[in-house]
Amino acid sequence: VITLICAPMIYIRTDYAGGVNDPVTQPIEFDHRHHVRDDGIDCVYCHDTVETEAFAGLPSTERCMGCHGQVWPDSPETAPLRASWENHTPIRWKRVNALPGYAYFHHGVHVQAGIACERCHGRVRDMARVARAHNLTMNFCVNCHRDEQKSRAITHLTTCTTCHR
Amino acid sequence: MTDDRILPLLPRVEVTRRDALKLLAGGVAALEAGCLEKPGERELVPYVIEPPEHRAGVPVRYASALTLDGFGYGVLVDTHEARPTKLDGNPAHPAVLGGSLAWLQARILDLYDPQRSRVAQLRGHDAAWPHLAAKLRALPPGPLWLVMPPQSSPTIGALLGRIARHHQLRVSYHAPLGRTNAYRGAELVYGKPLEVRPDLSRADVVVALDSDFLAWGPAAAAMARAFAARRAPGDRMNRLWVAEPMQTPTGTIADERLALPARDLAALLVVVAQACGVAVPNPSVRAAEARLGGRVAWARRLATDLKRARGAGAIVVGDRQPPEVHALARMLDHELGNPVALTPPALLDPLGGTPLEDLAREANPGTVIVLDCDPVYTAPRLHLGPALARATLSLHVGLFRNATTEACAGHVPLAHDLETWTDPRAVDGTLAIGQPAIRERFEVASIIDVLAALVGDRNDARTLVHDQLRGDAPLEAFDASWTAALRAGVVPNTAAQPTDAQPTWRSNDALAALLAPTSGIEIALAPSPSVHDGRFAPNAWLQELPHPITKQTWGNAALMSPATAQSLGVENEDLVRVATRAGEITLPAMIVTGAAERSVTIELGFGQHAPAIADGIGTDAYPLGDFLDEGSLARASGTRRIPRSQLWTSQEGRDLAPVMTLAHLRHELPKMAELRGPQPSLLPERQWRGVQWGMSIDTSICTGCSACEIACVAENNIATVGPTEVARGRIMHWLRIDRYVDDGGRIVNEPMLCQHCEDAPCEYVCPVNATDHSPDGLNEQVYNRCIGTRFCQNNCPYKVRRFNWFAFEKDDDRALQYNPDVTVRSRGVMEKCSYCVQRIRGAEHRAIVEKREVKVGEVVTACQAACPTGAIQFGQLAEQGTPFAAMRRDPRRFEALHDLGTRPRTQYLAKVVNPKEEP
Repeated sequence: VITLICAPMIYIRTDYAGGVNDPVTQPIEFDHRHHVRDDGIDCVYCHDTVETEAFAGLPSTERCMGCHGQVWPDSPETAPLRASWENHTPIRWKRVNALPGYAYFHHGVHVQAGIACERCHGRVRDMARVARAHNLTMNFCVNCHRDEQKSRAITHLTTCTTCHR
Repeated sequence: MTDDRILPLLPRVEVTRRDALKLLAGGVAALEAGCLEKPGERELVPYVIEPPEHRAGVPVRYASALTLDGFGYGVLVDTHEARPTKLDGNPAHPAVLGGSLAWLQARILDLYDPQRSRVAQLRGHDAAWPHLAAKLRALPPGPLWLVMPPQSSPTIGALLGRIARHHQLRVSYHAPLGRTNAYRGAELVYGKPLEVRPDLSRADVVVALDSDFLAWGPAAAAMARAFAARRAPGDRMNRLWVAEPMQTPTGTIADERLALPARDLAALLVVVAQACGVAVPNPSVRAAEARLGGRVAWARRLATDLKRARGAGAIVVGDRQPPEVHALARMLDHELGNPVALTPPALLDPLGGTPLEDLAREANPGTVIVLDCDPVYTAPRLHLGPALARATLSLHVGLFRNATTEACAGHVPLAHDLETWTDPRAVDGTLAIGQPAIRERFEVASIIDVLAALVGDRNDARTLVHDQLRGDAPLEAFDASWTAALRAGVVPNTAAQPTDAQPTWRSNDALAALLAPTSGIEIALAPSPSVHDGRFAPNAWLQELPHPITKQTWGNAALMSPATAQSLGVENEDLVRVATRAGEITLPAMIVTGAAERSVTIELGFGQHAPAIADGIGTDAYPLGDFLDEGSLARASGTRRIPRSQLWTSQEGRDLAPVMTLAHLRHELPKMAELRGPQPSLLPERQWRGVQWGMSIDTSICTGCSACEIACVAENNIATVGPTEVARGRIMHWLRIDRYVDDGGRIVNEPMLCQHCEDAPCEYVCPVNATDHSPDGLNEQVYNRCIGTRFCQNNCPYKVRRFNWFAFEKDDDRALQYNPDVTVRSRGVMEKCSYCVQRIRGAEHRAIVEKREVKVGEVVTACQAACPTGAIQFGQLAEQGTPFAAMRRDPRRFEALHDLGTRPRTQYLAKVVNPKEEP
């Protein structure tokens, strides 16, 4: 019985079960390497609320078309983008990193605290298809929060309602 | 009464030992898998074109307006990704001044109600609204009858004028609980219907006669605010006199209260008026004194007080009182020089247009369109069915399918106020622009759309409202003021100008008839504080809202005084048969301390058959006919369970909610010091550093109106559980309003929510640390950690913890209302008030991003925002110069169940009443 209970609990916490480093196929072959490294576009250009809001923000089709209306305007790679623009149907991206519904994460305060994107997302600029870099378990979050709480004398970093509301 | 509509059916499974082990392993895996999903399982869907005001995850607030019985109520709508999730009163709107009412908070649920009507129908077949609109545009000139609630919208007024040029138009403004009597009363003395608005900010003495003006009516929230502003104990504290047949929220904070049958109020007012110098004929006074008997003394005391406060009084008369009583009150106002504003009524036709009776009698009504009301249900005596059948075309336009839908040939789904453009006036005439906060969810039509179709106007509601407001102003110049009005929610300088009218008294005969001796028992019908005239019956939040007085949920009862019940030999929940000349009904009895003798109150709006939520809930009282009538009362066989949220109202000699009088305040206040402060404790002393949160509640100005309770439900995704579960004590409300009645009938309303004890009894019994304390003084409940032992609930002395016995959460349309900043709880976890921690953390996050501290007053809890009187205040313990800071120093403050040493962060201010000193 103990094995029956424990085995799935251990399994579910493995990187394998969490799909870490498992690239996700997206509706558009969007390559972060090209956009960040070759073109030098800052993360915040597309993820424009990452410094201030809970959600990092995902670019609208309009923002993509701002460039791709002229850059690669008839490439087959950007065809789904043009279809979205012309038919006014949003692009349904696959979510790579996800938190359960009872955990609340605020990108803005983490960026303000100087936490680098890589700390959770890995080196997205080196990913052809984005994959999960870490299993975002409570353990992953709390390890960091405990250290920060010690070093910065912020009282609230490990209280439950910091993340659970 | 089953709860199938609320509870999902649980599957029955037979399990062997081997299966049990498999299920255990699978269950653990499934449980854990719920915590972690694989990449790519969910989607992220950005906009194609992002609206400029949109920031992902940040709610956008729009100003809009709701309409009830013709009057506008300004609201601010929080929308998350174009989904309205929460309403609050608009501080700029004169009818609400930022406060809320329970129904106003609950209207958001109607928007997403899965029972909403979705398709237009004509003669049993689905039809499209554009198709029906074309039919209406092609309507040949002829008789046309419109039945709708009272209207104040200038756009609707203009459209009706245009329709009248094409058709023989008759309009019946049908509101079962309308204000026609008040306007007729004004007409009796001023010669024309006027809106009478007392100035409560200047009133030392306020008299409410059969009127629940602090919780009911088109300006209730604003009046409650003005009243509460004069309620601080001291020289300027006002005095409230209430005479009413049933206990109401207004009656609960009365200083002097008389339980008097509603039909005897005319007599009371005659005695008061005569004593104050109004020329009332002597026979009337003698008849009135005979009617009142021993209660004349109360009337004389009231008259003395009114004369003392000459020029600083206010008299509010209930809507169901006959016009003569309203008229007499106006004479009294005039005699005493009371501060009243007389303004032209905001309604298009305050006297109600063509009576609905004419429609019932009409042989050839032509086309009949019933908009946004249910006259077949609310006026059963008229038997409108045959009249509707005689119509060449009968159409019902409504949010839900109801009794009138069944009697009409066609049906069109009505647009919710938040889906369309409206321009209702507040009671003082101020125009509000109601803009949509969401695109129409179905193919719906608004009242303006239907009227526009009748004149063949193809403009949409926005254009019509816009052009109506613009008038002849040039488009460019108007543009800026239109945008400003949309942003503010109100159009500036549109309040009606007070008129100067001299009253003349000319209704002696009618008054004499009111004073004639009576026999029999008074059957008084009243609006339901939750479902109104029945229009909110489909709303599960309002159905489950405990009645402010009886704490009944899901239904109504025959409310009677203990003596009346004793004379009948009935107890709570015994069925009684109530009969008037018009009809009879059978419903359970409920005994209410503070109800008048020989008077039975029955609330309207229940006993409907559609839609599903309202089906079979409560008893329909409309067959009893008039609002105030004589009738008979007899015990019937059997009982019916009344699901109540509070069963006991005695403090049992303890100081749970102390009451003191203004005159004896000096002697009483020192005693309060014994009800607060630290107690000896074995628990380790904790150091509280940094920002600390707390709440203070003034029981002096809590009327029990319950706006906070619904606001909490809307903000915190609280489940509705249905009548059976409520009867089992499983109501989920995080905030309830406890009501205590002492031997003298004095009532205290004490909103009870998690007290956020510094030494919380719940915390040390939790075996898994699912409830814990934050460094800023919040008692935290962690749903994902909770395993549902319910030890905490058992150990909580305030009984504010709620357990999810079933999976009450919804995944249908209704889920669209859920606040995304609050976890939706499921079966098996405990929950309770969090002090709106999502708002606290949200403010902290904003402060961090903007590199500053959290500002004083930045965090407003949902209940605090909703409270029309400002009884609930929330803030930082260290803050200065705010109402909250003042309450933390008020000598009236006390802690609930202080002797237990829980050191709650929530404090109360003791209730102070200001009865008239006996000479």
